[in-house]
Amino acid sequence: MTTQQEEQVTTTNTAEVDYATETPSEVMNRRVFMGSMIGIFGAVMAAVAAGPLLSYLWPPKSTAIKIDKLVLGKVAEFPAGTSKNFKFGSIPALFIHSPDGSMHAFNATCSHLGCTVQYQTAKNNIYCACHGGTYDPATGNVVAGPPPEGLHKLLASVEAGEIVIRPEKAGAKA
Amino acid sequence: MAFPLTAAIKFATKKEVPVHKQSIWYYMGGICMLFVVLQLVTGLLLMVHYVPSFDGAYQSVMAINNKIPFGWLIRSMHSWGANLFIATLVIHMFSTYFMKAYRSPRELTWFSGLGLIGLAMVFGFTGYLLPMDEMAFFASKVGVDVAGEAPFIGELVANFVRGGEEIGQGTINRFFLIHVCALPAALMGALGLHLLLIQIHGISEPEYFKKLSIKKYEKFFPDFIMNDMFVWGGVTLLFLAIVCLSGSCSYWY
Ligand code: HEM
Ligand code: FES
Repeated sequence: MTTQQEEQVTTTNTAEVDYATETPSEVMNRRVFMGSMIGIFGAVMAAVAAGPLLSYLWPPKSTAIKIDKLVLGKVAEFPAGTSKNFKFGSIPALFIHSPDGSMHAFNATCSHLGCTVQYQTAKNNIYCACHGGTYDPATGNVVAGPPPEGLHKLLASVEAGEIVIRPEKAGAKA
Repeated sequence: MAFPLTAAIKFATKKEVPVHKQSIWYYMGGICMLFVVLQLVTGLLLMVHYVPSFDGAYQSVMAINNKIPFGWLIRSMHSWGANLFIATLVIHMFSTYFMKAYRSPRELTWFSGLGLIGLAMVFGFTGYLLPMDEMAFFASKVGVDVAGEAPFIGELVANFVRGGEEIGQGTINRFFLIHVCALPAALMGALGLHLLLIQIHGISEPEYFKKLSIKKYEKFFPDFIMNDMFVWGGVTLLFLAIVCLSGSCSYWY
């Protein structure tokens, strides 16, 4: 077998373009065309996949529940000097009926590192067990400990013998 | 020229693949590779939302199925892919067996392949528990209990695999770690060896082909790889069709 024959049989693309007889520009045009077609096809496919992929990766909507009114219970259930930790939507909250008769409600999230605060009847203060933060039970201001600022307030009112809690911010019907 | 890619392309251009009646089987290894990639990508995506906890796993998987956009698609792709991967591996194994490609000098290629199929099975076993639904729980229980029946060391092995006396958080920790960390690393190593050996030995030729006076070959690059790409594209489309039309692989609810 001659070397020429061997060369022929090892090449399968005999039916294809003979690059030797083609002018370089024609070859380049075909290549450029094929190249850009593959590029465009790839870009379209990537764009098609990108939408679903992004929507899959997008953080799911927050499951926080926002409410603008909560009936805590009958006034009679909370005599002066008592308190209750409860959930205002998904916010931990604290209701206090002070010994002096006034009523207060707070977002019970400690401003230090986020523990849930509690009312201490004996000392008449709001106390955070995590690092000993103490707050004023009437204003929510910091009395002692590491918290950098006071507690966020909620509105507590009495309506038809029931204690009703509302957000303090405007926008909520007071 | 110093850039290694040049050397790689040069090597790929020199490499030749025999063309004959059974050439189609040369594509099976490539399809296995496609499934490796698909499993890695979809697995990575599942980890974005999956929670490996005894109490939370099932809930997180349900969220992927029902709440997260296209979560059902990713999950079905991963579980269908796992099954089809094993099926393709078996086809690849039998095709190399019947073409006698395992014979000297390719023994190590064959054994590295056996290692790969072993890894794929452990992937399947550990992955099956992760959704923590009833089916997963009892399949894993039976699997581990079978190991527990072995004489003398059985109970020891079972407890070790389980991470305790009962299937619990410890079991999930172990299975999860093995499934998403240890196995992928091992797979990359074994697959690297497999592919390296294939490059070293070149693709095998069937006996009858070796005896032909006129043999036909095609270049690995760009001809064979081009066909490979068409095969990958076709298999991917077929795969997506199966995943979408079937809805679910088996047992979601
Ligand atoms: C992760 C799993 C695997 C992947 C990704 C893989 C990939 C490949 C690829 C790309 C090739 C070259 C093309 C071909 O001949 O198909 C190949 C060849 C080969 N594989 Fe695998 N393989 C895997 C598992 C296996 C298994 C389970 C066996 C058998 C126990 C095996 C045995 C072989 C042999 C003997 C060859 C050489 C074929 C020849 O030279 O003609 N492989 N593999
Ligand atoms: S979290 Fe309340 S004092 Fe630190």
